[in-house]
Amino acid sequence: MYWRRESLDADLERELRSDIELEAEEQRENGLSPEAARYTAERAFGNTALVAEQVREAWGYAWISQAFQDLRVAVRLLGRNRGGAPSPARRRPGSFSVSTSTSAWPTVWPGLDRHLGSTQSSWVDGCPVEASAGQDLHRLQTVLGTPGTRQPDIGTQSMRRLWLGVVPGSRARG
Amino acid sequence: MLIEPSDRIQLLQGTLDMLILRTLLFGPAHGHQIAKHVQHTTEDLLQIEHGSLYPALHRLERKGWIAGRWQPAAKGLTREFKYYRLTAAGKKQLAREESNWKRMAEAIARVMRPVKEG
Repeated sequence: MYWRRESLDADLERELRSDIELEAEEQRENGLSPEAARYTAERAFGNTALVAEQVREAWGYAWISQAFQDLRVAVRLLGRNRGGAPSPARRRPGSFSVSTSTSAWPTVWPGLDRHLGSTQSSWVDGCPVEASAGQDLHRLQTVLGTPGTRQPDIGTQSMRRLWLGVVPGSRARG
Repeated sequence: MLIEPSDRIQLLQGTLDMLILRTLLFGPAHGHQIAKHVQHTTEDLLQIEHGSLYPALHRLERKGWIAGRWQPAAKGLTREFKYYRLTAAGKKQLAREESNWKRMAEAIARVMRPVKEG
């Protein structure tokens, strides 16, 4: 299935590219310079990445891309958090904490709570103070949807079981 | 007459598939040709967005109503485009959609221009 998807992706890219080139050619015939023609053609086509994503949805493969993305974020998150929880001293006032409720982590990833510890990464206006762990937590939170809620239509089954709790305020739980 | 983008009308849900299938009744065409054909035929009133066209083409291909194949634009040319052609199942689907469209248009016309009694 993966190789088929790769082949379809390559085919789609070729199709979009050839049609954009044709549009640019027509614009050149209308008197535009090659650069302007190319720019106009690309504008006419809009966001090709978005078009490709919509086509993938039509194929029914969009969930695979989403699952891979979820998995990548989760693996990176695990890898960067092996060093333990960030120091509370590095937190800034006015931030709010993203805490991982270890009791709510899925049983499908045994030991995940050990990797994360009682992790509490600090954020300032949505930007991580602890860049590495915080950024990935933020991404994971984005993937999972609104913190503290379960999103029924995203990611794989295991990812759906994840739960993140956000504790507003400057003081993190000790 | 040049149609301003704001004057263009939105396609009704489901009519894009019918327009694509109808266009392909004339013969195989690639995405760009299909979009241009609809635009020219409607004198610029309808302009198919590429964000709608390509997903529709691939959805129709997946349903087996059209079939895509890479081939040169003309004999002797090496440059290839993905040409779509209507399949037998696509012709049947087009007939169904045309029939539904006529019924829908008649129903709307009855509401918009009711027959005067007496």
